[in-house]
Amino acid sequence: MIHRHLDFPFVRHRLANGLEVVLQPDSRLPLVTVDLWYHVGSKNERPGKTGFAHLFEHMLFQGSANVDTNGHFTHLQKIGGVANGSTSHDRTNYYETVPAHHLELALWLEADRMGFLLPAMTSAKLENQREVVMNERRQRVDNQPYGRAFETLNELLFPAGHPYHWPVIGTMEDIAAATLADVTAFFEAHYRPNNAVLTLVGDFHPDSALALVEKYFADIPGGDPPPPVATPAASHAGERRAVLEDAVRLPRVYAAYRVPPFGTSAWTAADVLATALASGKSSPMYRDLVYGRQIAQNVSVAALPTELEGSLVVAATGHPETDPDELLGALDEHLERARREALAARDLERCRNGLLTAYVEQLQRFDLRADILAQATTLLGEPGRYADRLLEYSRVSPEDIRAFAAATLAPEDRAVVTVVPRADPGRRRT
Amino acid sequence: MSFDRSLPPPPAAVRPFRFGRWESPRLEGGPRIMVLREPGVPLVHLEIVLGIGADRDPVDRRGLTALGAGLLDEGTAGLDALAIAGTVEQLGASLETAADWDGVYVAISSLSEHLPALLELGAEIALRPSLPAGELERLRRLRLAELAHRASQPDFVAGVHAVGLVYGPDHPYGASLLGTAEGVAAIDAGEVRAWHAARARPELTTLVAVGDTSAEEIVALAREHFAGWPGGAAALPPRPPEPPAAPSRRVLVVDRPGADQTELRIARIGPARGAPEYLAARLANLLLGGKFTSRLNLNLRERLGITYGVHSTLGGRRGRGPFSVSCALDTEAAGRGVGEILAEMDRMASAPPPAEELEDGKSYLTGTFPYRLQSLDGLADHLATVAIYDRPDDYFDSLPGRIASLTAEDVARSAADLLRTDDLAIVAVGPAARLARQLEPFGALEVRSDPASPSS
Repeated sequence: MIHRHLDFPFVRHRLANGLEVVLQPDSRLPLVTVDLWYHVGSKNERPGKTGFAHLFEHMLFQGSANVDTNGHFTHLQKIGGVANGSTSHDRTNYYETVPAHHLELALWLEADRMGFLLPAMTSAKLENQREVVMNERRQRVDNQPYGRAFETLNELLFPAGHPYHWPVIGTMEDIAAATLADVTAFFEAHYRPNNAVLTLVGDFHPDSALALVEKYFADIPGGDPPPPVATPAASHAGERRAVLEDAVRLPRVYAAYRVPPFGTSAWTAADVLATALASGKSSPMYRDLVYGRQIAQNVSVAALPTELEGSLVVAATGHPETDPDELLGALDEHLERARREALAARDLERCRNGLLTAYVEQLQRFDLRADILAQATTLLGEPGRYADRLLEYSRVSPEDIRAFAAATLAPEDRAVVTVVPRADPGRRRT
Repeated sequence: MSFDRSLPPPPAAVRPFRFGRWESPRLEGGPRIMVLREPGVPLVHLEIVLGIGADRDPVDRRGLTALGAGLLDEGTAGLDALAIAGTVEQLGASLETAADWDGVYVAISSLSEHLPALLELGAEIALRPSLPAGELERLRRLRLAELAHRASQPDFVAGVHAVGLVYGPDHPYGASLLGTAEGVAAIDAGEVRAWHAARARPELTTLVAVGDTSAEEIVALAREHFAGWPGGAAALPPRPPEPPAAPSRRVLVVDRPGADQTELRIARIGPARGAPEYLAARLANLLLGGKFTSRLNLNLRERLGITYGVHSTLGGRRGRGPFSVSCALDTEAAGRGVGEILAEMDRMASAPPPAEELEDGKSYLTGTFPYRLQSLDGLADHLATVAIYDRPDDYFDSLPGRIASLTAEDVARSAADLLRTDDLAIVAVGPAARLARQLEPFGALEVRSDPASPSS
């Protein structure tokens, strides 16, 4: 039923140097999004050098052979472009949405930093951005209520040496220690056309857009494939728990489980289960914990779309007087039931409708649509696989979801982090 | 392929952007109706706007409008809270009730095949909510917990103290939109009913519909669901007073002894959204701190590296909302940061911007406009502003021309007024022991312990 609205045509092309190009014309607005994904993230780092992929993202806005320091933003903002970058465990992207007649400018800028970055790198620029990133870490993590919970959760969920064990933004020590030699080596290993996907969505003709892509990117040499990422086979044994004291008023509990990777049908089952359990006011966790027992202020369950393997994270924030153990116990009742009983067909239908409408709403925006295509191409190898998830939504049965929960949500193999108000606000761990 | 990469390529032929034509069909005794057809997507987005917001909340009931808006979808004549949520989810819809200083909004969207059910539900929620006392108690408890949570967020704490200093205790703008714990605790069910009755009148209400629909369809449905609408049963509360005149510059340190960073706000009263100089003030603010390449960000982030980012904003309200500069910065660099921010404000206020900077700013404003109109809700939000701020029907069409006609002198004139530094409120949330000496030079300094810090 809803599928007919989700099918949109795209053109895929691979340049001789290995750059994957995905083009999706849409003339509804005179805008174009240029979204360049590099298949490198914090998973490609190693202990002692954490935070590098993200710090590197900052360095890519510091100019290249033909673009001044901050020239990237200056060129784009003066023509009404909106630009930024982002880094996650698996990938880093750089994107801009510009008035359609400035497409060539965006391609020139992205090609210059893909092909000609190193001549413009200096230790002064690195020094400045290290300071900026340390302030970013303080702002987002260290000086933020619950800020350290998520990195603690990943630390417990994935064993030492696992590429998801350390935080994407890295540790303060590692950020402070990054050198110009690190920048160069990282660039040469990962920032190659054969490790990138360039997606264009918006008001252009595919032939002329592809000609411009060829003009700016075709002569940038490809390189060796990046070094493989080793994933240790060994797992943690047993449930791992941590209690963090923080400058908060409300207790919060997190429980996380390792699930199969993004792109598998089991991951989609996790996505549907997450929606079924806690999305919306008529979901069972909301009805019970927030509406009924009133021991939670909010509750959420999310399946994270990561590549080596996924994770399912359950979180709930209590009221000031809520006992965090009672809150976890209540969450566990729902997780236990999910392992035991299949969803009612009506509840599955409700999730499906919600997931599909949310998807259609995302597709309205050029930048989000570009990300959907780029994600499928980068992580799953094929832009058309964005649709897998949608097909799977309509295919998955209540029993599939129960079987997934029974197999994966084992309380004896999970990480639990509880954040509680600190007793003495004047003292912090350092 | 060999070519010169040293210069940026020129633009191709401009593809002009025009805001879509919307229709304004009249419905006797009903709300104002605005319909914008966007047949490309099989979706429809409805927004019902009640055109009075939190700026008329009594100061001893701060948070009334935000709490009232939250209560709208907790029950109607025929449906209780969970039945509403169940209906929404069966339709695969998203429903949001929200409030700001100038309006209350019920937004509901889904596939356009569900339009009749969506419009009916939206009308029930916006016009005929049952505002049940039991749900009020539940929501009040959630809101108090949320306020407790926000009080642990440094940016929220800094923002609340800054507007508190700027507007004082007797003006609605002197607190968060969510209100205060005292205000939220005091609100009773009768007050919420009166709050709604005063706002839900045809002459204050607008129905915005965007997407795969038509004016005829919307009018037919509105006739059915907005009919028999008494409206206007309660008197509107008075308009807010003029903000107080600002005293000389003040510095407030909210003490958080162990904080890893200092959260900073520098604020004063800005222009009202309808003021003639508002567009020039927006441009002055953009150049100062409204984009990545602003003077403030290039200085404090890219030159000094003392912050992840600094930005300035205009309140953009019906009344004279706040202008403020915000950043989280190295505690050791707080004094230097404040000095640089004040110097940038003085510099912007004392000389017209160079031609290139001015033109870059103008094309940024014009060029980014369609970016915010990619989705139906973005379009609906823009239409809602036409109703709320009494904008003329050609407002968006004439916007590029009005931006283009701004001169360096216009910007300088508005900056001189907007960016005065002698009456600023400077608020820093962080360790007072390390901040006091750094901030003393900037004005009369007061240190408060942080009432939100756990166990203080």
